[in-house]
Amino acid sequence: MGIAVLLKQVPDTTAKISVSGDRVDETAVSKWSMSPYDEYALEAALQLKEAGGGDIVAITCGPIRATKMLTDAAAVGVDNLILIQDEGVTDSTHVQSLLAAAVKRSGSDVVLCGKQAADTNGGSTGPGVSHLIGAACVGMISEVYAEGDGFIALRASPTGNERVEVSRPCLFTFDKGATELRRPNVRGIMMAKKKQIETVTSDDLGVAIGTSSVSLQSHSPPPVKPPGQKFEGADSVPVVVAKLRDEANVI
Amino acid sequence: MTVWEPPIREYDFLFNEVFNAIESIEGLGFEDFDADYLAMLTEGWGMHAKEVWLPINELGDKVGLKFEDGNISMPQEFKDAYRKGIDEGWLATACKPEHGGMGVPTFFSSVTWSEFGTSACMALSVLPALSIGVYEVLTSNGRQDLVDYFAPSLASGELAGTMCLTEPHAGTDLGIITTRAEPEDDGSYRISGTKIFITYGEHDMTDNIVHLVLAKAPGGPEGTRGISLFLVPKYLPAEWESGGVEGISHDLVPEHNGVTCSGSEEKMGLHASPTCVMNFDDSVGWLVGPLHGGMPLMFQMMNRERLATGIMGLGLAEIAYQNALAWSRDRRQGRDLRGIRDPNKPADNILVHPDVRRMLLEAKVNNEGCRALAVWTGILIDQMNSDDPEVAEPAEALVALFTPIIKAHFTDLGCETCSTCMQVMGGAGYCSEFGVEQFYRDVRISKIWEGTNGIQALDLAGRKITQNMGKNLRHLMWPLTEFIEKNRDIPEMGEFNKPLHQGVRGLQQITLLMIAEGMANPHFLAAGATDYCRYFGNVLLGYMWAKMAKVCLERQGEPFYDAKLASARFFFKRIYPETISLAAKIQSGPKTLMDYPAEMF
Ligand SMILES: Cc1cc2nc3c(=O)[nH]c(=O)nc-3n(C[C@H](O)[C@H](O)[C@H](O)COP(=O)(O)OP(=O)(O)OC[C@H]3O[C@@H](n4cnc5c(N)ncnc54)[C@H](O)[C@@H]3O)c2cc1C
Repeated sequence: MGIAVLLKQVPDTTAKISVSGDRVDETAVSKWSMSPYDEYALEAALQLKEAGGGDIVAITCGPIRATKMLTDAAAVGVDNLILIQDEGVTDSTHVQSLLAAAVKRSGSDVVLCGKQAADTNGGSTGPGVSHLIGAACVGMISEVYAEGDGFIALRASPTGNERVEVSRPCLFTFDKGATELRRPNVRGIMMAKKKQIETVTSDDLGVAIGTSSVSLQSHSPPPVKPPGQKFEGADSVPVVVAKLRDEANVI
Repeated sequence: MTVWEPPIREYDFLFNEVFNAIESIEGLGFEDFDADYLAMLTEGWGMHAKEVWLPINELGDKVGLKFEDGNISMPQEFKDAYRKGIDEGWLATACKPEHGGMGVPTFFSSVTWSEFGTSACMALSVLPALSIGVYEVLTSNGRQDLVDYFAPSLASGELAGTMCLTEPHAGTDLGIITTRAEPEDDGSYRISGTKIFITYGEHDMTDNIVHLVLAKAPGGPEGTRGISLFLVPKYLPAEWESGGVEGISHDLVPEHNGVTCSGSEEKMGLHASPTCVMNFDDSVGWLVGPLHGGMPLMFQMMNRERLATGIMGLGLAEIAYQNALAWSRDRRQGRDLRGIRDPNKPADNILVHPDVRRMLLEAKVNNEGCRALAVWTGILIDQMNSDDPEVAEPAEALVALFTPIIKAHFTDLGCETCSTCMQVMGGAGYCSEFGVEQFYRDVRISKIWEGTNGIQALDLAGRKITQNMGKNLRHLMWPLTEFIEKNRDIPEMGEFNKPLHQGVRGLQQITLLMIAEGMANPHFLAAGATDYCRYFGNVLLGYMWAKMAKVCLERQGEPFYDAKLASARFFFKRIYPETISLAAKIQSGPKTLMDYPAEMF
């Protein structure tokens, strides 16, 4: 079984973010990490491999600094690592084409990724890639296991829990689950260090990156939040109620 | 709830920006070891310590261990955490690859490992630390069959080790121990005697325990020169009948090898670390190293052990600091004396008070200075193994000199810092909820074991200074004066370099005084030793701060480096000046101590 897991390196959720111009200043990000939903996808990939064998390939599209994340993935047990040099690609359809081409080339028949990246929160990568590789897409799952020729995925729905059966090829996007994520062990770290990272370009993948079909028209920072207001004592209840009704429109 | 983040950025700074750790160990057999690998190990171990060890630390203190009918049972949570350490390979970092270890450099295995381990759970960390100590003595001096049989499981953590030195009447003075070893015809020995205060002497974390016992065999000289080392397992191998352990299976006999535990001390801290009275009654043991040659072997291992013990001071001081800081960020009391900061709030945050800042900065700045010296010393311990005498000789000299200083000064500071951090938190610091009172109790032992700090100071002043005709000190003075000379004309370095220079000159003068007066009257040396050790510690930390400042001056503008420069300034203005009072105390000599009538105490 070929298992592909798509990973994105994002500013760590604890890292300080500073804005320069109208963009996040990437050079000032103190810590980069694997996007948290991707961590669940990775854990699920490792469990699939443990249960049924196969090779895991981790694929990311990003700058050189993302190799660190790939090595971290190798430390917990990923077999092959592919970095698609992003060459400044920001258009999500381009990222999807590159990832899809890399998945196809790897011959994987099941793909796992996070439901969205923690920085952009776009949520389009999984569905986009599944479309391009002609795979079924099951979104927002928390668990998956192989059964027969296909897979059973579990996900929470507004009315309870769903069990979804799907045949290959397929792609799953992961929500945060109850699974405990594994830590790298010393031997894993040692092996990871020796693992080669295959670096490919859009040319290598035969993907033509044309001009983007979307462009950012304008960008304005969110309005400054008005300061909080504080009320004390029972006397202020009518004022608070009035404000909640008339100003905040919440009651 | 205690908080702790492993100080990964600090190690990154020290390894890569201050000391070039990777380059320093080139050609020393760590070919596979590079900066990425080191970073991953540091992060990985930090994650393990935080997720597995930290959550059981308070439980260990509150629940502790249970002693019943000669058996000690540890909390299940400790057994689980220890097991995870074995499974994930974190207990074996220092051991050689041929025994299943990782063979990583000392600056990781004894410095980073020890700091994170003691911060997260000191009571647990001493168990693998002791096993590694036994592993080291065994693998560098032991018979091949003993090494083959015991080393791999000691390395992985499946087998636990202890160090049995202390006896009821013999603590500091090991020359008077009475535990006996009687030789048998098959080359093994029978050990009999009582040892006290034996850390992890008995427990149920592993199936077997192997004790490294100091004992006297017949025919040896009096005193420490008649001491030999013996390896004594709690349970013997089932197939063992006589002689050695070559080629026999690891199954154990169910009856103990005459090794029993008759009690575990109630104590101030480290409640989950057993402190046992151990009885050896005709127990089978094997000699490790030469007969009557045990003490030199213990000394070999001491550099590493004492470095790791010093780091216990740092580890607990670091977690105490992090908790005091987290708490003080939320605490509002009083107003800034120069004008209200937060008019909308009933009081200002306590960081507006100079005295609170004094306490936090003393803690932070001493911690960072100690960490730097520890990393440097870790590198030097590895360099001692170099084939190149130009590298090995100075490394050996410096390690000899630094070892007692690190043990004594770091643990003194560790205790002071935990106390200071408690003070930062007012009454909350004294209460159990915030953890610092536990750190304060746990850290206290570090000044006592591995040779009391008083003994460390005597080792420095009485031996290490004069050893090899003062060569140790010369190997320090060369790079130190070179550093001072190089920076003399750099104006920005003046505020660090000048006080360092003064301190170094003062150290030279006081050293001469100690030697000269000490020759006529050994009490002069002994009376000044503790203050001398602290003086020396301050000069070394001063060197570390000047060195770090040098690196940071070139990278100004980034908050991390700016803060380091501010810390360096604090060190030289508000910590280092204690050298002046220390010098005065040393100069006053032994008179006021020894003239006092003993019967009037
Ligand atoms: C929790 C705990 C765990 C321990 N774990 C172990 C262990 O695993 N294995 C083991 O073998 N031991 C262990 N010890 C013992 C420990 O190493 C000793 O307590 C320590 O070495 C001091 O010895 P002592 O208690 O006999 O004090 P003493 O030697 O009686 O010292 C009393 C005081 O006199 C001073 N003093 C003694 N001799 C001199 C001198 N010549 N010059 C100047 N001052 C002197 C000391 O500095 C000290 O202040 C442990 C102790 C404790 C409390």
